[in-house]
Amino acid sequence: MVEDEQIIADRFCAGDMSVFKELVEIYKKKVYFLAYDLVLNHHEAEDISQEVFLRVYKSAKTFRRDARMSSWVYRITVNASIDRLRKNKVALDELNEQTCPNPISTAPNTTNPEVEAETNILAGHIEGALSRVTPRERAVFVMRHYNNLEVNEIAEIMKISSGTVKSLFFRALKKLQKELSIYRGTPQMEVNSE
Amino acid sequence: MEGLYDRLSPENYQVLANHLRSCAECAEEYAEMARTLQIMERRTRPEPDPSFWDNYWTNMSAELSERGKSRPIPKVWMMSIVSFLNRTPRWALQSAAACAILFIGMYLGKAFFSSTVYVDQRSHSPKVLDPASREHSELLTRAHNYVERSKRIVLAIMNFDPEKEDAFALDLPYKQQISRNLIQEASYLKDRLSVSHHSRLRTLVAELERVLLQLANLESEHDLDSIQLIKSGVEWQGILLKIHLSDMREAKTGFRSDPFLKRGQNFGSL
Repeated sequence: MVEDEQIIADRFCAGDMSVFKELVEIYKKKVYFLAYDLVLNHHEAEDISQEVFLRVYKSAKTFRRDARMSSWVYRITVNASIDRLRKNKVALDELNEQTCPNPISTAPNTTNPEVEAETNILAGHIEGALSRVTPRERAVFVMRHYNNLEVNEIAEIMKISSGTVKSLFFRALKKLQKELSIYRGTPQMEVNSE
Repeated sequence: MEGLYDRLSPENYQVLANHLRSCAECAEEYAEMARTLQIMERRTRPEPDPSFWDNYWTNMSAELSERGKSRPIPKVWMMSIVSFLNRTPRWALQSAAACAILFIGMYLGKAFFSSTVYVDQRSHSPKVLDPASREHSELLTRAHNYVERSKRIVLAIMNFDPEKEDAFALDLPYKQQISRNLIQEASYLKDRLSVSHHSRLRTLVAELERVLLQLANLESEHDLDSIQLIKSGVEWQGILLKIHLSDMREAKTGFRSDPFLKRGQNFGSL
């Protein structure tokens, strides 16, 4: 897959716009979910993901091959998401009210309404906690934790050093720890020992 | 961080494990972080409806086509202009055109062909300056423009709070470009101001130049330590106070630059 991506990237940057659709197919889910992790709203994430590909399309000729194509696309996604966050300044209470139209929840099916209610409350707390870290900290955290990007990839995307990535990650983690401290010691949250 | 995601090499993992066994505080902190990550794992991302993905390319290409089209001029707007012109008598249109040409000609003549007029606010009598005085007046105008533009850059840096704002908000590349232009201007001003009697203004130009140099040499908007250093330097040297005093002196002496001299004519405006 990596090799195919490389070929598509090379052709795209050489001006072959016919591969743009393939590029969109490769990155659409990655871009959408990264945007969603940052803005925590389906509609915003949908708008941002379209905006990202429009920018990619327009900037094909100016893309310098000193970075990976994936890093470039993610960088545009992060920048667009942070711009949107700044414009909207979504409040926590709005976040809690946001719903995704026709979502198919990835939470495990359960017939126990109590467990389901607890899961929903926890999900709300987690998203609330995420909304309270700064955009940069959130970007680093979600890229590492939910998008499985390595430290050096994140550093390339955000044009910062690896040390700064780690610093931002730990700052985010500390804040999340504080926000979610009520779950400390809850039996189902206990970490399996080493 | 690598340890929390099982990315450590076996050797480094052993080092970490040994330390955690011997240091209760670190072990507790490490366990807390791991617990928090476990909690964060329970976050679910709502998966959009399958039709969202199926229609993704269709919607994307429609948006691309839409944005690729040039916007047509609204017909209603065009028609209203045409109907206005048709209703107005020809002699009125010709007179209006003649007046417009006259005013443009007067403006161009005053702007490019007349001597510089220095308006003395005390006597209210315009004086025609000789070439040396005109050059001096232009120099002061450039110096005050430089101070004004540098002040805006400095204020942007001083008002930037990394705790509350994202580094992208600083728009550093644009400010660095302006700073480089201003640094070139500073070089010109320092040479010229030294032979006049404006030593304080010259000192201010030099101090601002140093700040702009530090800014222009920043490698990234995320280099918060260097940005803080610049802010500390500005505070310690009292640069904003000196700019304020310079503005007060300018107002007191009644100096007002010729309004027909273009502001910022030698470097990009901010």
